Amino acid sequence: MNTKFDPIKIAKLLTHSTRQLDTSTLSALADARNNALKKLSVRSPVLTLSTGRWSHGLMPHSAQRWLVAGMLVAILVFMAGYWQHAQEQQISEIDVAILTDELPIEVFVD
Amino acid sequence: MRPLARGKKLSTPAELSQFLISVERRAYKHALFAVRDSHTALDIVQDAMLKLTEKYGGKPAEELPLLFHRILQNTIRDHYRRQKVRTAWITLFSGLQSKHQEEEFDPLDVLQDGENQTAPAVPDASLQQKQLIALIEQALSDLPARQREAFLLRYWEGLDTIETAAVMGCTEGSVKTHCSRAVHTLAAVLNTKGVELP
Repeated sequence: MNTKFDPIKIAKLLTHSTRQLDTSTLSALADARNNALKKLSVRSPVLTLSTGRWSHGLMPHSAQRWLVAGMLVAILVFMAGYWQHAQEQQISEIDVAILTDELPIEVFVD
Repeated sequence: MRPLARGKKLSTPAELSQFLISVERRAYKHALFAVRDSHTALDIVQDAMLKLTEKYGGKPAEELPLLFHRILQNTIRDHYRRQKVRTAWITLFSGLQSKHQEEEFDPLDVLQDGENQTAPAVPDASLQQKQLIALIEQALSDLPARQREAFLLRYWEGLDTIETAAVMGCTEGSVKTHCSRAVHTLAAVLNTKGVELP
C-alpha cells in the first residue's frame, strides 16, 4: 500500500482540474447561475384569494353534482395514494441500493 | 443543518451571486463524478442553483455552502430515482424495438491502430498532470456513491465531520467510515497504476 497517500494532494489536483473546464461548460454554468439569480429577483407575489364571480360557476349546487364531485375527489385521492405508494417503493429501492453501494448500471445510462 | 442564529445578516443578491460563482465548477465536478454525463451534470447543477435561490436565497451567507451541498446531493439522488423509473419504462417497451441499431455496428469504427501512434513517447509535464487528473477522476467516479460524497465533501470542500454528516444525512461515524474506505480504495488504485502524487 502507498503510505504517502495524501487526500489534500488529491483535492489540490481536483481544484486544478476545475480551472481546465472547456468554455462551453463554463458558459453553461454561467447561464445556469444567471437563470437562478433571475428567479431570486423575480420572486412570485404573495398568493391572494380571488372572490370573483367566476368561482360561483364552479361550485356544485345540487346534491347530484355534490355526489359526482365527491366521487371525483375520491378517485383522485385513491390515484394519488396509489402513485405515492409506488413512488415510495421505488425510492426506497434506490435508497437501499445507494446505501449498500449496489447502484444498478441503469442509473448511469440514458 | 445548522440552526439560524439570531443576529445573522441575510445574504444579499451580490453575495449569493458570488457564492454561486465560487462553487459552480466544483458542483459540476461533483455531479459529473456521480452521473458520468456532462449534460446531466449541468442540469443537476442548474436545478440545485434554482432550488437554492428560490427557497433559501435569503439565508445568511455563511449557511449557503452547507445548504447548497445538501441540495446538490439530494438532486443527484433524485436523478438516480428518476433514471430508475425511466429505465423501467424503457425495459418495458424495449421488446417492441427493432434490432436495426445493433446491425449498424461497424468494428472498423472502434479498431485501434497500435503501431501508428503519433503521440510522443515521453509526455510533457502538463500532459502528465492531465493524465494523472483523469486517472484520479476515473477512480473517484468508480467509488461507491456514499464514499465519494464523503471524500469530496470532507477533503475537497473542506467540511468538518459534523458538517459532512449533516449534508449526507448520516452519523459522524458513518462519515469517518466512508472517508477511510474511500482513501484506502483510492490509494490502492493509484498504487496499482504506479502513480506518485506530486
